Formats: sequence, structure tokens, C-alpha cells
Amino acid sequence: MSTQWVLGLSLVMAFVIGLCLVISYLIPRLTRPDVYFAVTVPPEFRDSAEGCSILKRYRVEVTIFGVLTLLIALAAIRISGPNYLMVVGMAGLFLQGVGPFLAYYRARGRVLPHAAAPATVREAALVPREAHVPGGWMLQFPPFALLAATAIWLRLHWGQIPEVFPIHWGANGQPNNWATRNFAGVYGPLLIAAVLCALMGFMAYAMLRWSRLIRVGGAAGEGERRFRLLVVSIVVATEYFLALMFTWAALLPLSHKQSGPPGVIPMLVFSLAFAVVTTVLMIWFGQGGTRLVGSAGAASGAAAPVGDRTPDKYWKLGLIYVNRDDPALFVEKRFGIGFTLNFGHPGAWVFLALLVAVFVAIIFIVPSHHHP
Amino acid sequence: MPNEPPVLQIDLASPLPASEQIVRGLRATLLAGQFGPGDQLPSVRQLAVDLGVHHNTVAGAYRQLAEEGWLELRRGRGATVIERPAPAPTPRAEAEFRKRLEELVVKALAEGVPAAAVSGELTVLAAKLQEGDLAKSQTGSMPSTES
Repeated sequence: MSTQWVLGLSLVMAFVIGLCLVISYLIPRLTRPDVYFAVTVPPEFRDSAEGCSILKRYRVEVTIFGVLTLLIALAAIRISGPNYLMVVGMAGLFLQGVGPFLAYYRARGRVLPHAAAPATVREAALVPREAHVPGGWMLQFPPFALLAATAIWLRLHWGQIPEVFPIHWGANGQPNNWATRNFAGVYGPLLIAAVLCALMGFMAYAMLRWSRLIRVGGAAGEGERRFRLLVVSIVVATEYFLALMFTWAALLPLSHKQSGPPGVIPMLVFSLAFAVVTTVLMIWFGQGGTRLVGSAGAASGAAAPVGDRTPDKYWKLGLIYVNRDDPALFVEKRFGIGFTLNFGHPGAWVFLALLVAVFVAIIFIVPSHHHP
Repeated sequence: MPNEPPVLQIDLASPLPASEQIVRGLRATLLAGQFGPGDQLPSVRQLAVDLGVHHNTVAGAYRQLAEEGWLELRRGRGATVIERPAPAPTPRAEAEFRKRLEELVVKALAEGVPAAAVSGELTVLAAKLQEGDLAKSQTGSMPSTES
């Protein structure tokens, strides 16, 4: 393995783990004031001595896990052979996922004795809601146009595509998975991207149409509307991101470079930049736009308690919402920023099934598993 | 905030069914003149999502208001506010109102509310009625219990 690869991979690993650590570290203070570690609490609880102590312990645990993960990942890159590199790397990332979850689970256990009764007052604006995705249909068109243009380009250059071509490279830069020059192998990535983009488009529309505004009046309502627009805009931006990534992947067969996927560095930088910008914007807004309006703004508008209008008993571990009596398809996350599916809604399962189908297609349909 | 939309509130802890709370809240808004003929209300699905109640709860409330002549319901077009001529008062309706008001006052007195407080509330109510603000004061915050 070349020194360049080791250095590059170490930097990427450190960056991803660092970003995960920052997000995990900040999340508890980004939620609504009366939702703490996914438990409904009095709004003043998070600033109490007990609330601060729980947060401190959580952050210490998250940091320990983050540093451990980083050390394991870096050690794996330096000492393991290329065959085991990804396995150990994945184990490191797994730890980065499990660690914060354990810290969250423990903190949630400490918050639960302080749980308060959730708000029972609900409010709704008595005006028809505009469910216009930012940019409208005109902005939905370019990702699909790009994918279609790429398909035409590949058809025109069919003869230049090798019979068997690499589609996946190991950490050592050598190809380890190939596809055959047939419909699935060549057009598969584009079709998958089209389905993913369509799902993203649907998600943007569904978030506007089948999720609720928790506050409708005052500064809090305005902040929430801006937050919703941000989340939907990020989903639309993700459509473009996916279209670009898959276009790049679909054009790889036309490159005859074997030592590594061409253009991987710019694509990696682009991906990481996208993740950073998205994260910064979400942190800046806070869940439901609460950080835009501050505590005074959050208290403005109607006199009803804030809350997230989803009773605690319908949340599994505070992360998965299952409420058959709630017609909302998307609800605000309790621990995190943005929306999550209501698995009591049949549409959530259809959405999930389509998403799983796409990943199954990526794993089983496109690659031929044929070694040249 | 300029041009704030009218807000409907319900309390899920109230002994009054959610559907009835929606009917009362919407009726009060309509009485207050916050909607004119031709104005659209949120669709059944949207209001159900926003309030976190079943579609049938909102659909039932809309049907009742349509039967009372406030709304016109059309498939695919949602609920539209229509011109509602004030019904001619009947002696029976007036007698029923008088009887319920007296019952309410007697109940309040029996529960220990001072006569002066009851009288004061009735005076405030009468003043609001004169100013046309009675219905307006009922929107935006639904009472948790009703007689």
C-alpha cells in the first residue's frame, strides 16, 4: 500500500469520525427545549444542575468512544494488510455508531425519572398549506435530465466500454468488484439513481404535505417554517448530489485507469464538503428552527406548551416513532435534527421497502461478481 | 407577525371530544367573520395531520358545519366557506337559550362562585357581544371544559 493511500485514507477516516463526534457532542442541545434525550421534560430541566450533569457525562462518554474509534481506525490503516483494512475500518465506524448510541441510552435512562407529562394542546393554522417543493418541478428536472443524458452518452460510446470493467476498488486502490457490459451493468447505476432521486423528490413533497407544524404563530412559527424549508431544500440538494455521484459512477467504465477510480479525490472532497455544509446549516437552525428564534422566540405566539406533539409512549427508545393514530407520515426527530418516519403509517413501510429495494439492487444487480 | 392566519386549538385532555372541539373552534372563527364566502379551509387530511387526530374526526366536524350551512364540501376541493344567512330566531331557540343560561348561573352559584363574579362575567360577555368580539375571543384558545 502506498504512503499516499495510507495518508489519504487516514485523513478521510479522521474527518468522518471527527464530524460524527461533533454531531453527537452537540445534538442534545439542539433539540426542542422540552425534549431532552428524547424524553419530554420541563423546559428548564436541561439547564438545571442534574440536566447539565447528565449532558457532561454523555459528552465525556461520546468523546472517549470517538477517540477510541479514531485510534482503532488509524491503527487499522497502518498495520493491517489491504485484505482486512476495510473490515477493521468498518469495525471502527461501527464503534463510532454504537458508542454514541450507548452514551445516549445511558443519558436517556438518567433523564427518564424527570419526565413530564407531554403537552395535550394542539394547534393548527386554518389556511390551506402550500406544499410547493423549493424550485417547483423545474428544479426536479435537471437531475433526471443529467441521468438521461449520461445514458445516451454511454449508448453512443458503447463500443469503448470494456466487456468487463471494475466498479469497486479496495482501500489499496486495486479493483475488487467488476460488472459486465450489459444493460444492468452499464445502465444499472443510472436507473438506481433515478429511483433514488424520485424517492428524494417524494420525500421533499411528503415532508411539506404530511408533517405538522408544531407552532404556527409568532416568531416560533416563522422559525419552524424556515427550518422546514431548509430541510426540504437539503433533500432536493441531495437529489442533485446523488445524480452527480451516480453519473460519475456510470461513466467509470469509459475510463481505462485500473489503479483506482478516476476523479475519486474531487468526488470525495465534494461529498465531505456537502456533509459539512449540511451539518453546519442544521446546527445553525436547531431542531424545528428553535435556535433561530432563541428561548424568548420559542415562548412567543400561542400560549400552548411547545413540545413536539408526539406522545412519549409512541417512541421506541426515543428514536423510532410508531403511532397508528397519527396521520402524519413524517414527524420531528426527538434526538437529532430533521424528520423521521412514523412507522404506524403504512406509507412509511412502503417508503422503507423502496429504499431497501434500491440498496438490494445496488448490491446484487449491478455487479457481475465476475473476475476478469 | 403581519397577517397571522387564524389558529385552531384543541386539548386532547379535555372531556369534550376532539371533533366537538373542532366544530366549536371553527364555528367561533366563522362567527367572528375571520373567513368570507369562498375562502378555503385546510383539507381534512391536512388538519388531521396538524392536530394529530384521525381523518374521520376532522371529516365529522366538517360535515356538521356543512349541515349547519357554514361550509360546502366537495370531493377534491376541500371545504369552502359559503354565505350563510342568519337563521330566523325561533321562540323555542330563545327559550332554550334562556333556560340553559339560567341553569349555568345556578350551577355556578351552587359551586360557590360569588354572585358578583357571575354578574361581572355576564357583563363582560354582554359588552363583548355588543362590540362583536365575542366569537373572536373564543378562537385561538379552546376551553378545556364545556357546560
